[in-house]
Amino acid sequence: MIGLTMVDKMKRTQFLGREFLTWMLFKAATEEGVFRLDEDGEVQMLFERAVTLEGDNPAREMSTIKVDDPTDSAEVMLSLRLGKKVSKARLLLESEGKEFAFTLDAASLALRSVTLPDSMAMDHTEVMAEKADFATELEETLQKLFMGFIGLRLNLDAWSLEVSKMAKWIGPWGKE
Amino acid sequence: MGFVTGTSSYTPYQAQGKTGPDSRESLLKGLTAGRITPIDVELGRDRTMGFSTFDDPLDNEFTVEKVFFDPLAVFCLRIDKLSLPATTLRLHVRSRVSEALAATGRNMMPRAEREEISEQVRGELLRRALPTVNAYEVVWDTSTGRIRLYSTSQVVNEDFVTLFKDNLDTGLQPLNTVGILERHLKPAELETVYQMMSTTFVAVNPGAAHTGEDDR
Repeated sequence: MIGLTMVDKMKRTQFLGREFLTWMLFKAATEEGVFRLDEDGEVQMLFERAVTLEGDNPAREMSTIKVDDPTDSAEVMLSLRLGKKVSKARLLLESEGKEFAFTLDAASLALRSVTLPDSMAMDHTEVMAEKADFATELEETLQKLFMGFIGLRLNLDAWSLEVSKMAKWIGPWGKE
Repeated sequence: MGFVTGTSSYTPYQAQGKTGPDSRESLLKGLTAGRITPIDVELGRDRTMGFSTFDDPLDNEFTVEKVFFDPLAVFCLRIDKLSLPATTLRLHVRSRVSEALAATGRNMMPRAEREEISEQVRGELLRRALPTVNAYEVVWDTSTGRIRLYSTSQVVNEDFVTLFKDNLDTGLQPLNTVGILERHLKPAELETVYQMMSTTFVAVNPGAAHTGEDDR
C-alpha cells in the first residue's frame, strides 16, 4: 500500500497480534495448544501464569490475570465474554524436546523475558552459537505460527468457521 | 552476557540484502567509525552513543578477537548520558546569582542574565559529572543475517537502526508484526491485510460473532 508510514502500518496491524494471541489461547484450551508446522512437525504452545486482556480502549479496559492455567480460568473467560482480547501472555513453547519460555506482546509481537533451552556445548564460542540458533528457532517458529494464523485470516470461509468455533467456546456476551 | 545466561529481552532484526558484513575488515572499520566518543559538553551535548566491545563496554578498540565468534559478530551499543539533579542545579544557580548581585550592588537581575548564568553553571557542573553508561549487547548471526539488540526500548532501537545503517552500511528490517508480514506476504496479500478490520469473537446475539470483513 503506497503512502503508509511504518507507524500507520503498525497501527493497522496491532489488532492482528491480539487476535493471534486470543486464537492461540483458544487452541491451547481446546486442542492442548498443539500446532502443526507443515514439514517441521508439531509444536506445543502453553499459556503460563499471566495473561493481559484488553478491550477496544486499553486505557479503561485492561486486566492482567495471574492464574496457574489461563486456559482454565473463569476470570479469563469472563474477560473474553466482555469482548476483550489477549494483548500479552507468558508462553511456553515446546519443540522437539526443547522448551522456550517468553512473554509475547501482541501490539508488535515483541519478545520479552526470553529463556532459551540450556546449551549442551562446552566451549564458550559454541555456547554462544547454540544460543543464537535457539533464538532463531524460537523466532522462526513464532513467525510460522503467526503466518499460519494470517493464512487462516485471509481465507474468509475458513476464518468465519474458526470464529464461530471461538464464539461457541467463549460463550455469549457478558455471561458469567 | 544476557543472551547466553539467564533471561533476556531483545529486538530481532533481519539484515537487508545480505546476511553478514562484506568482510571482517569492513565490519571492524564500520564499528570503529561508529564507536562511542566522549560527550562534548562544550557543544552543549549531554548524551552520546556509539559502538563498544562486547566483553568490555568501556573499550572501543575493535579487533577480530574481540568481535568475531564465528558465525557470530558481537559488540555493544553504548549510550552515555550526563544528568544533573534539578535541586542541585537550582542551588548552584541561586548561589551564583547572589554572588553576581552582590558584586554589582544590585537587588534584581534581568531574566536573560539569569538564564545565561544558569546555562554557564549547568555546563560547569556537567563537565564535573560522571555519565550514566548503558550498554546493550548486539549479536549478529552472519550465517542467517539475524541481528539481535538486547533492548526493547523504542528510543534505543531507533538510535541503533540509524547508527547501524550509517556506519555498517546495512539496512535492518525489524521482525515485528509489520516486518514479519512484509517478509512473508505478496504485495496483494499485504494490501488486503492492511485493510482488514478487527474480528468480534464474542456473540452479542447467539450465532452472531462476525469476522469484521462484513462491516466494510
